[in-house]
Parts: sequence; structure tokens; C-alpha cells
Amino acid sequence: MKCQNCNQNEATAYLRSTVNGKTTELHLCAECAKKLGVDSVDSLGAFSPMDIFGSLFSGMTPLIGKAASLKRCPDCGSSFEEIASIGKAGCPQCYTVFREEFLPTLRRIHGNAKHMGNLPSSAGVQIKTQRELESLKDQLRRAVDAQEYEKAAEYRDRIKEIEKQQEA
Amino acid sequence: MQKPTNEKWYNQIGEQGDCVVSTRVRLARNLRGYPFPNRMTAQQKRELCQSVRDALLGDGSALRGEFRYLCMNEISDLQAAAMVERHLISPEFAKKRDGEALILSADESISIMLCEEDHIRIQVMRAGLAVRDALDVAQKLDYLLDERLDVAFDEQLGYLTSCPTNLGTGMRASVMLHLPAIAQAGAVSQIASAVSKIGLTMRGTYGEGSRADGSLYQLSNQITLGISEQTACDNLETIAGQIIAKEREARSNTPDQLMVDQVYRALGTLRYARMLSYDELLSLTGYLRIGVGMGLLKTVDYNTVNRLIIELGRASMAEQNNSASDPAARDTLRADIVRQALGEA
Repeated sequence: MKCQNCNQNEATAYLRSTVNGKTTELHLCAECAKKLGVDSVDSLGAFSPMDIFGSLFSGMTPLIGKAASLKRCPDCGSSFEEIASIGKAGCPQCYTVFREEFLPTLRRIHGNAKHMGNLPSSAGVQIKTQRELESLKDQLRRAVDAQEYEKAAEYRDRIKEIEKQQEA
Repeated sequence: MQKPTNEKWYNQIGEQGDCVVSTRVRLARNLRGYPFPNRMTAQQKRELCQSVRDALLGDGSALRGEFRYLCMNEISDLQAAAMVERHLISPEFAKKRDGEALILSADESISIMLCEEDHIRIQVMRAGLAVRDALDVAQKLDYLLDERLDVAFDEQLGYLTSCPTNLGTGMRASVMLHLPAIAQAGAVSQIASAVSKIGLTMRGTYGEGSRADGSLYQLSNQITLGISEQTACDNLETIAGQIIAKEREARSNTPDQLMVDQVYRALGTLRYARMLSYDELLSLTGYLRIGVGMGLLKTVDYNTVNRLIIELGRASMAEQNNSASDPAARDTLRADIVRQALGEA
């Protein structure tokens, strides 16, 4: 089996790590294993690619950093390590490839990680319907609070209608 | 879209002109199928710029007459520096100019930087406080791009941007505030720290580091993910309104007599000075802005003040006048122009 990092040498080392219930398996050649600091258990703490990470990405565990550094974006070739060191993604696809790695940082920067703004025309029907439902439920709550029961009934019917369509 | 005009945006009357110079809304967009600009070759940049040009200014486009398309490698260092001064482009965009392009409206209120940090950065400027209006125009342009190009978007993360701090709406809205009384009272850092807790930032502009010449401060939204464009703009406008109220209150605490004296001293210097540095111009025109707000100055208006601070920057002047390349000549010429604008006594 070829090394999963350089794709050139024969893999001689095997690393299995479990972080937050997610298990990562890696096959590496001796050289890459040494380079990434995973050649022995003792060295795990000694080398940290996080040292060079930009302040934006601080606070992530070194193990995630190491596992991520072996993965590369198929579109632009960026590793998460490279992205974190300059604080910029390489291409739009990086966000799909490294979604899990990005999320903790995004929650820290923005307080959450769910887009609430405008949608382009390419966005799926599902998310548009979901948005409409959320907005109707919000309007329903407000109508009830204001004791505007006629309006509330209208919103309730519309919500039921959409939910029925979703089931079908 | 607004009606075509060659009159610059800052000559239009703005809301809350005693405390707000301008409003700016910026949207960051990227296209699928290309790496972000920091990983693009010059050839890829040229290709992408051309496809945006075709999408916005192609055959039959209503925008053709209103916008200019500029290849940044054909622009001189001086022209680029003048564009930075007038906030048409970012300082970073002015530095590396190989393959990048700029789409600019005749009144300079709309500039679209291509291949800056993101593929497309739409920027709309308005005089005074006009966040919703600026957002509206930016969104119309965004809609045109969306119709014709494959914009990178993710249902969870929103519009995908080079820097994760812009994910979501990709929108940065900001207002430039004139806050001399708050600055005088030493309350700027207090306000800056208060607004940072609700997702906004406030920092000095036109100054080096934290020093804000002319007491001009930029208030802008910080968070782009998990908040809609509309809500972020509403928050910004509400907080700007509260800061404006504080500034007016602080101004009214200064005895009128003292304020009036300062306004007329500033006008006197501006009308008679034979040499004016840009820093001095900024600080003196700040008093004029207060004077206009107080109804003291009949012959001066906010537009005049805005035009002077935008057009008389170092690079803008040097670009307009060959003789203004050395500092002394420039300061002399600046004083001449100011005297003409304010009616030489």
C-alpha cells in the first residue's frame, strides 16, 4: 500500500486515532510519519503543526491538525494545515472537504455556523421550503402573542400545508 | 439601478450629515471551478475577470453605459494610490496588479474589484447614513451575477469566501462617523468595546493605527454567518443612531460660545491659509461639519466638506496635478483649492 501522504513510498507505519468518536486511519511511509511527528507515540506531543497556525485557528487539538494535514483538497491541493497557516481557504471546494475541521473555528468567530442570509438561485428547493417554514412559525408565534388569532390561523394552515407537501 | 450620472456620489445630500460622512456595503462572491485569487495564476485571473465582464457588461446589458472596465495592470501606481484614497479599491488590491480588474460606475459609488481577496467584491458607497439603500443596490448587482454565473454557495456555510471570517452573507456594511465630541470626551474606546460585544467593530480611519485624524471612525458589522443581511444592516443602523445621539448630546455639552469660536477659527484658517497639510484639512473641516450642523455657515454645506476630504488626499491631488508631486507644492495647491471652495475673503 502506498503512503497516504506522499502517495509515492510504500506505507510502513499505521496510525489509528479516535477524536470525538470519529476514527481516522492512516497508512504512512517512514519518512512522512517522521515528518508529521507520528513515528512514535512519544513524539505525538513534541511536534505540532499547530505552532504555525494563524490565531484564527488556535485552540484546535494537535491530533485533528495532524489527521487533517494528510488530507488534501482534490480541487486545489490545499491541506488544512496550509489553509490554517494563512487563514484562507484555497478554493470553494475546501469548505466541503474540510468542513469538520472548519466548524469549531467558525463557531468561535461567528458564534454559530448556520447561514441565515440570502440564497442564490442555485440553492435547493428543500432549504427554501425550510426557510419559509421557519419564518411562518415565527410569524405564528408573534400573532399568538399579539392575540391576533385570525392571522395565527392563517399561518397555522399554511404551515400544515407545507408540512403535508414535505411528507408526500 | 439609479439613473446614470457623472456627478460623484459624495456630492449628493446624505442623511445625518452632521455625524455621518458615508455608508459602504460590500458583498464578497466567488465562482465555482476556480481556486481563490491567492492561488490563481495571472492567466486564470484574466479569464475569470473576462467572464464577469461578459456577465455584467456584455451585449445588451443595461449597465454598459454606466460602468467602466479597467485592467489593473494598465493603471499607474499613482492612479491606484488615488483610488485607495477615495476608497474605490483596497490597499492590497493596489499592490498586486497582474490580471486583476475593476468595474467602476461613472459616479464612483459602485466599484467591483475582481480577483482581490475574493473573485468578486461588490462595493456600494452612499453619502450620509443609507445602509438599506446601499444594500439594496449591492443586492441588485448580486442578483445579476447570480443569474449569469455559477456562484459558490453552501447551504450550511452560505456564500463561500476565501477568508472564513466572511462566510455566510459575505457582507460587510460600514458607516463612517464623525465623532469629535465623543473623541474629546475620551469615550471612543468605551464605545468601541461596547459595540464589539454585539457583533460590531469601530475603528479610526484616515489615521495611522488607532489615531483617527479628523475624528472619523468606521463602524461595521463583524459577524456574517448566522445572521441575515437585513438584520445585520438593521443592527448597524440602530447602533449608529445611538452613537449619533451620544455625539450630539456631547456636542451640546460644550458651551455654544466655545463651539462657535472653534468653528469660525477653523473657517478663518481654511479661508486664509496658503499651505494646508491633509491632516490639518481633516481636523479643520471637522469643525466646519459641526458648524453646518449648528446652522452657522450659510455658504458651506456637508457636500463641500465631503468633497474636500475625498478629493484633496495626497495621491488624488498628485494624480490630478503634475505640479503636486512634492509635499510643499501640494500643500500650497490644496490651500488654493480650499480657498476657492469656501469663498476667499
